[in-house]
Amino acid sequence: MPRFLVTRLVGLAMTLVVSSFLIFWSLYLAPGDPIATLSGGGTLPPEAIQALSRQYHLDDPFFTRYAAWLGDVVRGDLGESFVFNAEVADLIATRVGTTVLLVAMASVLIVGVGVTLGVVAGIRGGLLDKGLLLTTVIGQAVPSFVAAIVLIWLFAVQLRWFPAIGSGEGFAGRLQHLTLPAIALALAYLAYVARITRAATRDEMAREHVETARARGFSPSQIARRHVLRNAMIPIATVSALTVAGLLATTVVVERAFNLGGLGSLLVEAVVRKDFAVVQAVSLILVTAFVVVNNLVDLVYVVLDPRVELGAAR
Amino acid sequence: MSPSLRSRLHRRLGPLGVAALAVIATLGLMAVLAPLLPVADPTDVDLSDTFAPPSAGHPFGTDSNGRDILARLVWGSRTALLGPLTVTVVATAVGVVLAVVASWRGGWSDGVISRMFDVVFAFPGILLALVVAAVVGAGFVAAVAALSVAYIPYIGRVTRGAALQQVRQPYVAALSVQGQSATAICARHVVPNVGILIVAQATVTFGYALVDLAALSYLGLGVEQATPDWGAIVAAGQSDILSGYPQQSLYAGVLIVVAVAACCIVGERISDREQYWGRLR
Repeated sequence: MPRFLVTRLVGLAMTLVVSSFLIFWSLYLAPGDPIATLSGGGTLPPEAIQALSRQYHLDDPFFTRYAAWLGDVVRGDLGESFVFNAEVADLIATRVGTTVLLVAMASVLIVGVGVTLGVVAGIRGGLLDKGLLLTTVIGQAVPSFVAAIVLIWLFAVQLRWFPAIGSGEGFAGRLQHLTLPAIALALAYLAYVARITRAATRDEMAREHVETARARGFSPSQIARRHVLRNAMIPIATVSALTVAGLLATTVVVERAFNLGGLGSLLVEAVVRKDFAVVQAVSLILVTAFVVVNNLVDLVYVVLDPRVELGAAR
Repeated sequence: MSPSLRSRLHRRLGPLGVAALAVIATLGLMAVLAPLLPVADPTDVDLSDTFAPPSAGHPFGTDSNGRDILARLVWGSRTALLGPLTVTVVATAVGVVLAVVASWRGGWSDGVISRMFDVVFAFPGILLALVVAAVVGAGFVAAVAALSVAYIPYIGRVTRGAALQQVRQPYVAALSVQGQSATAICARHVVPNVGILIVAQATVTFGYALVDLAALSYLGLGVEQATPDWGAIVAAGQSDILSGYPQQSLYAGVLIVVAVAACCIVGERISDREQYWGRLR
């Protein structure tokens, strides 16, 4: 275990360092000087320019600048936004809750509904199975923003069950406001997880040990729980975790579609208004979260399947 | 289509796969032939004829600017399909070359290339496109370039795995002993042998790139607002949904879903059958 863990963690750390370097370096790829990029093209008073030079250590050599920037980021100092006129950390702090809640709700939908549908279809088979397969093939192809407009049209405009836009007040209000966005975010991933779950369950159902258990007279529910699901859980868990990682990027689109004040909509607004400090900070957060969740998948895999020989696969 | 080709396609893809392929071909033809098709000018604004219901002149009605919705959907297929096509071709070309080099040379080349795949993989396509848009300014070209890079590891990882199995085969050693160069062996034998897998992965990539590019256009960071494009049409129609005119958003949304579903079905069918035949061999 330790050797496996160390290799994974070193790989993870390397990926994160290189990603952070690329994000930092991208500032210098922009045409024009960094001050112009950071100020969003507007003219700034000399004090502000000095503050920016200090903040980004613009008078130092490149790698010193990167090290200083990374040090600040690790300490939670993300700099100041001149476009929004606020601390970047504060901008993020007020919005991160919406995004986390949205991703959490979508994850619950994907794992709860997707896995349940897949297991039921895989075990029952028949017409239900065929119907679900067709539905998921199409569902998988529905982009989040298309799902968003259909949901807004059906449930907000026609039926008036849910609000069309906004983040809502209080926890209950937020849950209500985030229901449609969470469904829009989850839909394609949910269909995908349901398909993989169905395939894994069916593969397992056809195995000889299941046949044996059936011949020995175990009840269908016992066979499902003890013999089918335990083995099928491995691919299901892997795909579910990868899927949840993928949600992070899609929140950008969904938050815009429903006009939610989250990290994703902050990122898009920062791109449009050319606020580089915010773009760097938010993309760093999203990439870090994506990489960490993706790597957690491998650990989950090891926990679920004791047959995986640690470190031997590499 | 000759009967033999049709039966081969049928065996390879199954009825659903053939139908999906036909859908892709139809959409492709629509994009190529857009100037020849009998549709109105997609940029023709007529403010006296907004939100018109379907009629002989406007089979799908008109949008909030009185523009013909059908014409915008037909012309929109050009940017909506050309973008993902470029992304797929570039990502596949670069990904395959890197993967074959990594699997052939092994050692540190493989290490460096695999780490490069890991790092690019850490940036989801949309996120990379947003960062690029912040650096060089938003636009169709920037979005296509960013996604071309972002999708390299999706092709590269699959190809590397398959090519690794090939280069260990005895036939590679035999050709090498006969004096064939590494480039020749890779180009003539290794890549063709994993070709089906690459085609399958590229087809699925096309679908995902279509979704990402449409999403970027939807966010206003892809094509310019006036250019007809499926993603931009969905976005343009969103404010009209609240006033009771969901038509153009829904039509464009349906086209995107149909195109992506068709790509996924064809891609998966190809790789499923390949695994099936592979087991028999």
